[in-house]
Amino acid sequence: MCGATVGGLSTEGIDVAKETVIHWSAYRWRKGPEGMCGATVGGLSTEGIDVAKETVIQGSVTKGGTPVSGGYVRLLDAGGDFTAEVVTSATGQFRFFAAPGQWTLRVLSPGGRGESTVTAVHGQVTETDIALTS
Amino acid sequence: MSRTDVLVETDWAANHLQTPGVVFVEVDEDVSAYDTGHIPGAVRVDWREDLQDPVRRDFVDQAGLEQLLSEKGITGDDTVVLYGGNNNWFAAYAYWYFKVYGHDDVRLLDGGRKKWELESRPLTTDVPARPRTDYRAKPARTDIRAFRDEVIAAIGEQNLIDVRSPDEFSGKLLAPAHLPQEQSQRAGHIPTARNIPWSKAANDDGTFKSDDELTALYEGAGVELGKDTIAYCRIGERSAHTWFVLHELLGQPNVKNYDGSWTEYGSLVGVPVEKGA
Repeated sequence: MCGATVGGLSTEGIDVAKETVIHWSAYRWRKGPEGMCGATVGGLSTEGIDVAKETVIQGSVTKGGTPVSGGYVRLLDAGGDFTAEVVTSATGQFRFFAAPGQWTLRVLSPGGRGESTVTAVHGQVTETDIALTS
Repeated sequence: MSRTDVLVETDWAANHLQTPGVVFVEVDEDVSAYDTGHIPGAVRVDWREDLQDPVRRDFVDQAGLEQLLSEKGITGDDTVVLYGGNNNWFAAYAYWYFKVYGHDDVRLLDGGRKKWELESRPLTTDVPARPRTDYRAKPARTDIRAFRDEVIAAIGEQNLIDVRSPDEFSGKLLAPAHLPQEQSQRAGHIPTARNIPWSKAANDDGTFKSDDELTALYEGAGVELGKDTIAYCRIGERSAHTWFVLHELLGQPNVKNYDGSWTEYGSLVGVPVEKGA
């Protein structure tokens, strides 16, 4: 997998019709060996995702410029309510399928905390990179 | 029942990793998480492969559970400590399942895998060898599991608690936001249900809030505690988390988890559905 894809992340198995496959894929990013060799930040491939039907929020978590893997990224709605949580991949990446509107992303990891606010649009991929502070 | 009968702290867990009669079981939504590292000595239960009927939509029967737990080397006398990712959603689901089949001493690790990881505690890839046992389950309880007809009959009569996120409740989203949204069922919620997201019962680190905070949460949202209650979500795992809070932590006697949840209800022909907050 190394160097085969920008961002090095395999989207094998992502199919909007089969949610659990996607689900497992999403988690397989966390520490799985495949596709995790490069330390590329951002640029998560959306290959296999029907972006036109989704409202994607994705990005990466870094600390001092280094990707943070195993960080917990929490998606909060405009009212501050928890909506979802994922674990960052070995390259520090994450992805959510949200709805249009304003969202807050909050990161919790042994290395520190971080937060970012985004406005997501249907049919588009909203990218956000979050830098942690101790 | 006290909180320590059903919940253990990470410190307690760390001090009981080698204790005979205590079995740690990881149940994750991401079934591969176990392979990347788990609490030393823990065995894995796969919520999908191990706990679901392979053909029809239901969970495995009594004989199926007996076979599974025998293979895992668990006995009916063991203290089973469940933990997992996603703030213990699937661990809570498995907890409920152990209770459906009458396991006596089962507990959740407070904060689950997340808290263990945030505290930088050890994980291992070693898979323990536990000798096979002859596990005997009890017949499935029906007093903690709700089926669709009871749910329809409960509209306007019992507490219905929809524990999904506000956007799923209102119909804006059909699934948690880490999942793609295209689904076959209708969006919305069961009429008269109150939306109290499971997450309001947990702290950021995944631990459960205190009994006083939890009581205030449900009463503040207009739930009459003590009245018959049915909790649901999308597939029954987040509502198992809320079932745990109401039935196990707050000791409410008549609480059921509707594991058919929105994927069943939202697909039924002719049932009432409400949209909006």
